[in-house]
Amino acid sequence: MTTPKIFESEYRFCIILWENEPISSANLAKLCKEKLDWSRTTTYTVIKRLVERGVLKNDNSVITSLVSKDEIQASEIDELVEKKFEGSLPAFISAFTKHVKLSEKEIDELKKMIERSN
Amino acid sequence: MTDAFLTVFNLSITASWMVIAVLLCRSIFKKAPKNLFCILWLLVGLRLAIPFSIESIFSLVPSAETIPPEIIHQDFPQIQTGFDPVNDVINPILSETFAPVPNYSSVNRFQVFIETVSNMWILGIAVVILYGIISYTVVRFKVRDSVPAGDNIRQSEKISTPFILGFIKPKIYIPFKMDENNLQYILAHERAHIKRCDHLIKPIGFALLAVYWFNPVIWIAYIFLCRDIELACDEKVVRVLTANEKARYASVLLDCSINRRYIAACPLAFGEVGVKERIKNALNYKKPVLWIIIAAVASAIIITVCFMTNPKNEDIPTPDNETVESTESTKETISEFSVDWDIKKIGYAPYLAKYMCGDEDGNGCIKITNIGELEEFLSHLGTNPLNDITDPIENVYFENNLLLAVYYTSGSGSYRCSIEEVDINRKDKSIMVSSILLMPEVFTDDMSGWLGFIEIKNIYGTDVADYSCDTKLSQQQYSAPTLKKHSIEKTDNWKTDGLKNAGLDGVEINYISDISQGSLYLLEEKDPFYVNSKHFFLAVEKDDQVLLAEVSLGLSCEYINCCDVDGEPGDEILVMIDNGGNGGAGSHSTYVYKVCNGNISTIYYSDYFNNIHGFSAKLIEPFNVEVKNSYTGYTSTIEAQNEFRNHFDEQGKPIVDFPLSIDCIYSIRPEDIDNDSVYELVCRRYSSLGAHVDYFGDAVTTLKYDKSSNSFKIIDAEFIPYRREE
Repeated sequence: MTTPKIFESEYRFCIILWENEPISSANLAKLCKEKLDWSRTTTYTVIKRLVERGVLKNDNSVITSLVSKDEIQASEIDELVEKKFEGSLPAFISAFTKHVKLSEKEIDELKKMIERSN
Repeated sequence: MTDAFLTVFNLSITASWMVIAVLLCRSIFKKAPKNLFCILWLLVGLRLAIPFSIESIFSLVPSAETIPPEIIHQDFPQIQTGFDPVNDVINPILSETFAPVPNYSSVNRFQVFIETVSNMWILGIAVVILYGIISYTVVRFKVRDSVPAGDNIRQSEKISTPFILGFIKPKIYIPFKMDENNLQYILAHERAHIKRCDHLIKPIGFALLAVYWFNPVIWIAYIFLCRDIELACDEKVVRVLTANEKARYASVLLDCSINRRYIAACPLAFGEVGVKERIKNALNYKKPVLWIIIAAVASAIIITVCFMTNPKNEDIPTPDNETVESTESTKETISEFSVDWDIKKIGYAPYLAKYMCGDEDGNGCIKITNIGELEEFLSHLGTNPLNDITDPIENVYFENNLLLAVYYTSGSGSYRCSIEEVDINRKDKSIMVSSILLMPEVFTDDMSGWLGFIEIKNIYGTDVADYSCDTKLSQQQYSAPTLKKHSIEKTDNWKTDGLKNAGLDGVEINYISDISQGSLYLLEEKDPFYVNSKHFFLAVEKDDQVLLAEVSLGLSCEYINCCDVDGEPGDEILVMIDNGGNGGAGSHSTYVYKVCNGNISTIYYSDYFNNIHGFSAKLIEPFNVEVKNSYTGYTSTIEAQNEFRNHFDEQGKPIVDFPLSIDCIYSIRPEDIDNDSVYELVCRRYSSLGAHVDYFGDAVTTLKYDKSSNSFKIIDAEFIPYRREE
């Protein structure tokens, strides 16, 4: 199943959800008002939109996510590599390492991560 | 509402001149800091927002009141644009188009026109404001799920270009995918906007635009205001940039330029207006030279003084409530009413005569304050004013509010009626005195038989009301037609040879009765030269002379009677002649002659045109006709029946106000109403409402002879409606 697409402002909303789920829609709206300055109706509209897209589910006003942060991030990377690096992951990594300064510690961490994923 | 509209209209014209001046200044001083022009636009806004201003001699505004507020009350509306050639073109057209309609309607057509236009204006305001509100709401809705991105900044994936939204706490909205470097310029620009309070200025400007929507010059001003705001903010940012950075800024502008074809009150979008001009300006920005700044500021000050102030009100006299004769500044000097009337007949054409009081410069005007003076004035016109038809008489000035109804004829026997309202502020000081109702003698070729009278009534709508000096309408004096009289020796054969020698050949002699002054005869022409009508004469035979008097031409003598109407010695003879013609109702001439001590004179005369009765009618809801008589205060409400209901709509509201048309006397009967042994005359007239053919009822007046004025006064009036037998 393809991961549903999430737009930038929705992503910020999802972050709040991931950090606080499961959470009642009322409380979620309160949090969104606090952090994003969204009105209640805006929050509910966004919830409805995301439910339709299969990003989260609404059980009796309790919101839980159906997609994890991990999955979204991975899907973004896939799209990025597809679109901008002609599907070549090495090309992406090469560009990444060329332009991003990594500390010793970070390089070590990366190496460990790559070994772990295999 | 019309007052508000006229104020707004005049203000917009005044402000338009200022806008043009600012645009000129703007195009001359291209290198001046744009801030200056923003200030000038603010001043324009001030001009538009504040309805009044101080007067100064430096004002270059051609006219502060192009449409004077009192115009809705003028019969001949005139505007004052400040340019005489323009006035001279427009005003005649206005007068023509909106001239008072010569019927009894009191509606001022120009007033109706202005009211319609005012309503359209209000509608326009609503539309523009609605548009502003809707476009604002749409944008607000669009970015409702934007996320904060720093203080005052929010981000949304739904927008493609940055803008500012909000009045009290304005926020900068930016799209997500924006280059960091570009962003800093944009934010600098938008922050400049906020600092300058542009987020408030633009909506205020838009609100003014809503009020002045009808004036394209104001739209131009708003567009340029928006441009100058943007340019000023650009300048603020670019001022501190290096040449390279300036180029970057210009390219950011280009990137963000959007093709917006409509004007919005907000938001203050980054790439909204005049991008090309802004790019050029940014790239070529140099700190402005001092002298340019000074020159620009100087012109700005000049513009302010010249266009924010109003012209001094010299030429247009403001009417006071005081009498006009006090001030020196008014052009005319009004001379008091005096016996020495300097009235000259200055022109004559067949059937036309023109009179003027005073001279061409307006000196020596005549002032009239009441009816008596008016009558006296009219009596001074020519040898017999009633024999002339006049053009407007100029330079007559009316002190109180008088309403005249004057009738005049074109000479063909038809008559027209013109109603003029004369009021103290009247600038057009002429009255139509046409000798009113000259009825040509239908049956003669020469003009010797012209008859006429001047009726002066107070007519507004169809009501006959009192004059402002609060006196009831007094009986009119009129000049009866000159009585052609003769006196021949009473001989035995006066009835044959005597008359023949006097030129009254071929008459039929009818004995009427013996009166105190002798024997009364009615003479009728036997073989009239004219087809139908003949000459009539009265003859009073006494002792040694026979008094002859000519009565009008007519078909027949309907009534002749002798009775005492004045309680004085002598005889009064009532005569009513059928003139024929004039449709089914017929036309009669009614005379009262006085014979006394060998003299005969006319003391009363009335016919179709010379018809003083004081009746008027007004249609009122529902289906009612209110008939009034101004001499006696008689009022009666009659329900309209049959064809007269056509004057009303289904709900009984009058459609058109039809005047009561009262014919000449068709019946005259002496009756001693008040039991003082002196007869009063009960006169009946047919009346119609609207079309002449519809018999509405009888207008009855009772005349009583008044010794002090030697005339008859209407002492009683009654209206008897005609009811068809069903």
